[in-house]
Amino acid sequence: MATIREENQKLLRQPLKVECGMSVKLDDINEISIIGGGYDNYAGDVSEQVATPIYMDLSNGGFVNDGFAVPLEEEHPGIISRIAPLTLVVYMDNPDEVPPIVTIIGTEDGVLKTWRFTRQVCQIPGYTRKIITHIVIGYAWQFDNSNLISCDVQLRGVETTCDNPSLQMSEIEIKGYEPNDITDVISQLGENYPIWYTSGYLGDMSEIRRFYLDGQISWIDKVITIRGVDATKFLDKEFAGTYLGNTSAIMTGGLNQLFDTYNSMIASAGVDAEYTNELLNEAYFNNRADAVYLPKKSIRELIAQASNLFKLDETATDSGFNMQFNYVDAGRPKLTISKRIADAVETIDNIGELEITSEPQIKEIRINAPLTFVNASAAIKTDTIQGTVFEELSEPYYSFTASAGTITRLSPTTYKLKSTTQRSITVSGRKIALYDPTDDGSNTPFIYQRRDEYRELLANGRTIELNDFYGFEGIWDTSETVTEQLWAICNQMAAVSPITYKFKWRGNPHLQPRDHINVMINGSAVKMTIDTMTLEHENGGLVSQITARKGWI
Amino acid sequence: MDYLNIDGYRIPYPNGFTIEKQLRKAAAYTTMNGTEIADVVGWKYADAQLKWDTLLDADLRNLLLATASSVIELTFEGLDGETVTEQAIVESCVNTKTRFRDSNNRIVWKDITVSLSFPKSH
Repeated sequence: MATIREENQKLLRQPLKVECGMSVKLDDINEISIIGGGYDNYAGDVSEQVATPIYMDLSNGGFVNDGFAVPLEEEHPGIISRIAPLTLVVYMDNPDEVPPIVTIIGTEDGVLKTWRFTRQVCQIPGYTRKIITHIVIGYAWQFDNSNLISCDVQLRGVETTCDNPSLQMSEIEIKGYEPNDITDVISQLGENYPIWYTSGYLGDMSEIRRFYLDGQISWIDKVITIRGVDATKFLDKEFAGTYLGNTSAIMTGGLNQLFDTYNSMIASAGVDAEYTNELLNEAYFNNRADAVYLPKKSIRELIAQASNLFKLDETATDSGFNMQFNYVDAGRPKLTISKRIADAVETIDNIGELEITSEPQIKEIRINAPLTFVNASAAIKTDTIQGTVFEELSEPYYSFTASAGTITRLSPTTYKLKSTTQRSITVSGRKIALYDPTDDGSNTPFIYQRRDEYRELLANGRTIELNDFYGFEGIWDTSETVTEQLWAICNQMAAVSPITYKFKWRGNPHLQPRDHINVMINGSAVKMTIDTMTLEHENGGLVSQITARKGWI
Repeated sequence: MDYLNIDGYRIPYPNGFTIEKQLRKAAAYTTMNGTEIADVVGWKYADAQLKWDTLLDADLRNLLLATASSVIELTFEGLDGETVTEQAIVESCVNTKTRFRDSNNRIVWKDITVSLSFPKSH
């Protein structure tokens, strides 16, 4: 059995199998019974004929596999008939009702076929071996190498830039052969029907990527064109904003809470994402009195921001900053918060049309309020502070007057400062003093005193401004002050390479945005993280255009 | 083989005719060091030109009748000496310039050519 990685080593490789399609469910399947032809368990050579997986997508009204196309054994999916005609009877809720259209997809003696019926009793004739993998009350299209003209997949995720990256949608465009006039059908259809895609070699097919119909289907000259986007589309839903805080040492820490909150945010948007929460050092991250402030924004923006915050530090040990908040969709939404495993990294050779771009390095990172910060002293006793002046003590201290901002008490020792004028706080050495002028001096004001850690990253470079930055405290360690944590994040951001690559390659459909790769350039391996990736199937071949950033981030 | 078979018509085998294979490639590109990378989708028989030095009038007429339709079925000798039947597309007219009478007073044509291509991908 050929594998993609093996074939990619050759100059001339075998063409990949592509399987993709779309289901348009018009009605709920109520009951289907199968008459005649029988259905049996088969072992032996049947799996050599076909290895068509069940394309089931339960999110956004996808086709529900109600048990009629049940995998009899794992390697023999679908209803398998003996070499005989097959009859399926569809029972609707209302016995007088006739199903509008029933589409059955399967293979007949190994060849992909679609049957369509507009009646209750669906008879598939012929003394041939049939394997039915997909039954829809409605329409369905399935394409493989025999009837696919082209398939263009553009995979994107959270951009690898530090400058307020956005979470981009991934797209698919399928062009297939459809000899029947479907202009009437197209006019009836809505949006968001599930589309799937997989490619590779038998035995090494990629995980199924799921997209949702976006825009009109077109049918011209017997060619049907279907366009879809991934589940990122549904994440434009707004999140109300919340403060995740806890002061109990027994409850799970802020990082865990943050991760769980993200998971429920994504689920609330109707996206069926896979998530893993394997923290490398659980004892370290549990039992912490951590707090995070999540602003009111769309879920999509929040995810993009969080990905910017938590970046991988390859050299860190378990207790260090090696957490990585990672959400990738590209057709298979997945949320993880663990360090990547370096062993799985693919080495890419034989790239073409290489373009290398560089932007100026990061000199300074400016962060916009709101910030939350811990007041270590008991100086501030009142719940809200009005009219207090926070003075500019001396350069380089900033101050806010109460009229230019508001302070809200969140917990006995935590306050939130929000500036109403977009005052920026530069982390590279500025300080904030907070004190109560009515204080008789017996209580110490709380001052960030990190002057010794101040350093300008570079003499020259660009400034990054992070707007509506997360307020948070004690994500990693409550003994650290906020500036330290912010500084650590800024360090990580500044360490991200300004060099990006763009190249053409033969492609591997197992890869996706944010994957780590090694690319051979002039005989040496360069570490890169994939930013965007296309999979262009045409004329039987596959080519891939990849943009990537230097380094494993 | 002594004879070529075109849609049922037997024509003497063209002079020195050997068929060649050609790879069908897709998604080809050139790498940074000049290597060509591609996916091989299959192979087909290369475009061929059938040539005869001489053909008797009767054979030429058969050839004209045989190639009257643009898609023909050709039986020829394959690469390993086996007999192959394959669909071919007639790409050109039957070309010839010279007609003469041989010593037995039969009409003979000289330098006949016809071009074919093979659409089928294996």
